[in-house]
Amino acid sequence: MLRFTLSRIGSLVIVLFALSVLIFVVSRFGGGDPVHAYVGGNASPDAIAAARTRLGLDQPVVVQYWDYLTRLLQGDLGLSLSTKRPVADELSSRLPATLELAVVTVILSIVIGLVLARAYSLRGRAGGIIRFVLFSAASAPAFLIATCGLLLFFGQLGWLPVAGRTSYGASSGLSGFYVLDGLLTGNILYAFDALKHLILPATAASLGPGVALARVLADGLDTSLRSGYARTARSLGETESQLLRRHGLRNAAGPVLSLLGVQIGMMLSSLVVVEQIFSWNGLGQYLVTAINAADTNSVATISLLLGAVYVVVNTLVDLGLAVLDPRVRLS
Amino acid sequence: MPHRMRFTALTAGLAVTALALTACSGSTPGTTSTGSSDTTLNLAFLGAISTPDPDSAYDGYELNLVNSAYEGLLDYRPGQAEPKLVGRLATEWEANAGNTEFTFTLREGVTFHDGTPFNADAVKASFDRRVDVDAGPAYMVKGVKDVKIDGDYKVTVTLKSANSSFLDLLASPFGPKMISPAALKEHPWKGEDDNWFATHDAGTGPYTYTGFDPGVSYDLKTYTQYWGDEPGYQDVHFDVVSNMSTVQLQLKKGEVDGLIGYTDSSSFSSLKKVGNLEAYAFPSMQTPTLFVNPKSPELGDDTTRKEFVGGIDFPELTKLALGDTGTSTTQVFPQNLLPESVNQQKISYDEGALADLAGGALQGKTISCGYAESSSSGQALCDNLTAMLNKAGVKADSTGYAAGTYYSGLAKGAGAPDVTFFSGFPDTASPDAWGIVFYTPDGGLDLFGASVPGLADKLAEAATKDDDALYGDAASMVSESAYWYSVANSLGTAVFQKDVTGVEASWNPVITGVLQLASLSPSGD
Repeated sequence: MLRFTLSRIGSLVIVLFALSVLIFVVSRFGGGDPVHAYVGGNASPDAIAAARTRLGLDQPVVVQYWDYLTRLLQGDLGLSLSTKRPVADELSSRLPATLELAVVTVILSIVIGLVLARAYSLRGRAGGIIRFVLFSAASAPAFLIATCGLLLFFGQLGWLPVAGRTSYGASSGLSGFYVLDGLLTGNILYAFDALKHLILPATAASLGPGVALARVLADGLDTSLRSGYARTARSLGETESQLLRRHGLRNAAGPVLSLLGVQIGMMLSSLVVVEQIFSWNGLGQYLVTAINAADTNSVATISLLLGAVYVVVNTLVDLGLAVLDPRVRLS
Repeated sequence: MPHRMRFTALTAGLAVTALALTACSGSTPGTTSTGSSDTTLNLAFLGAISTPDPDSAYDGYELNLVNSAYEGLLDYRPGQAEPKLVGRLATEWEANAGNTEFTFTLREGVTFHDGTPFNADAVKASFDRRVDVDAGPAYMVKGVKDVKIDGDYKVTVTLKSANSSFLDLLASPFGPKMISPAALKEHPWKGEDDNWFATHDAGTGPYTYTGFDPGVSYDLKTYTQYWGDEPGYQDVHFDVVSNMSTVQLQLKKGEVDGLIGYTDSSSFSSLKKVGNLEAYAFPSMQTPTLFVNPKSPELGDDTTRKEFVGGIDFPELTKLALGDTGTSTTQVFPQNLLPESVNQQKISYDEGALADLAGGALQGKTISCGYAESSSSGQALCDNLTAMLNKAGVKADSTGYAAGTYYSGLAKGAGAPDVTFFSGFPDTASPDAWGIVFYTPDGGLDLFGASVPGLADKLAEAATKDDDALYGDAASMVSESAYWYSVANSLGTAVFQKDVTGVEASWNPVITGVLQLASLSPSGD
């Protein structure tokens, strides 16, 4: 276990270092000029030159990278060149927003996966129709689902809010998870409102991964429940429910968990789109703004953060696999 | 319960819960207090804005906050196309004959939002901070040599050299604002990462910053001790929304009271047809301009370039690309900067010129038009020009540049696009603020670095003498070079619910996307 943990920490360090080099190179040689984003549209050449010096962009590239790396190691994420606020300040409000959406999206994906897995394995014409619908839903990109949801549930029905995380201003709670903060502070109305704001973006981001999980789970359950040990268990008197719980789900969980790890990585990408559509003030929306403004400090930091999240999630998936299936060894 | 039944029950339960969650409240509570109200004006920013610090704000939309909370000595009269200087915190002003000394009589009875009385001390302190911050608009006060205080309410500003447009710099929407000396002392400039003024204000304006959730929402509240007329709305709330479709839906449903700027031609036309909305299009000095690359292998030659520019049907291009958001122009400098008689294009439209070029100088060549992806008008103009050229037999393509790569992409000489469209505006209503910036390589927005011999000197002489005839000569030189062609006058757009009044009297004659919010009020007021 210790060896596994150390190896994953080592991987994390290597991935982050490689990412930092890659991001730095792309940001400096990608053709963009962050100075214009910093000084504004009508800035004079003198103002641009002064800003270039102030930002250290007139230094040799090696010096710039060393400066960037040492500041990073000291926890100084630099200044957002477009909003002119420290990147750390920007992240402090946006990271919880994305995490809240991501957590709900993952939970919803799993729920959708579990519910639909059963529907997916139905026999006959009904099963065929359900499989067709699910396949279509899985093929639909998140932005399309988001836009349809927006037009229907806000534009036509008026049931759900369309933008932001709450109708009542930023949470005064500690976690930055608005639903949780509302519950912890006893403000049920606030929590309920935040939950309503979550429904459309989380559904748009979770439908695709949920259906994918359902398909893998349905296949796994099907294989498991037709296996020899399932027949033996039935002959020993286990009910279908017991069989499903004790053997079916456990044996089908491995591929599902592996897929979940991959899906979470992909989900981070789809959250960028979903946050943009629903004006969700998270990392995705910030990333889009930063890219458009050639705000290299912000882009670099978010990329590093997402890289780290990806490695950590996949490490957790490996641990989960080992717990579920003793045949899997962490070494 | 058999597991199949349990499954069905679970599914039904989830469905019921979802329906209950969504339907039980009937309608969206909205953002803080959405929809029209008699006291709160709900507006939308389409995307993040820059820090609303009065000395670094240099993009545009953040001025809706800055210019509500701060005031300068002078201003331009809002709601009037022809720029007219009006006093804001100065009641009288006078320039000496050489335009090196400017004397201001200051308004009495004004207080800053922190309670500090406004007087002559604030002028120097505010100018000094702008120089300390040294952001884009710092140049506006860098020419100040001395600020002499003569009693509490009189100051004389001496410049290092003559500047006939100094008063315009003070009236510019980006111009220096008066800041409480007490606040400046308490929160001195230490850099952007420790900037109190990024989220607080200490101005004299009709509104004060109350709520800041950067990137999410901004709130303004009436300053009860304001010296001028009481604003029509007690509170103004801005939500940052990240896509146009969402804002359009919110406007149609009345959840947002207004959107200032942002709309492209198509969105604007669509919103004009919505019954509960009023769509406004105001004159401005924003001028979409064709820039021709002097190092272009295709258009670098003087004869070919002039024939090319003369062959473009600009009125038709304006109609196709800008629709209701722009009007065709025959002027060189933006409208209202110079008398029309001295500000006319010298290149006439030649209907057959493009076809001639297709069979001649441009045969087998391709004209590339580059635009900044962030500019909907730039893209529309490039796309429609490309179609126009292709129709005439000249091969052409249109390429978008991400905002961060646009300026550097245009600086690649022969490797840059042959032409681009850029929709710029002057900082002030002075031809000086346009000519030097756009038509000389040292100006900053001469995007391809085109240089016309003698033009920089002519513009400098015109600025020193403040002489329209000399500016007219410069306009002729610009036009005859065919390196630039002013395509249209952009109209500043705004869309409001019909029960919001005062919009017609609130727009700025220089730039688009900024309104004087204190002039707006609910109908009936």
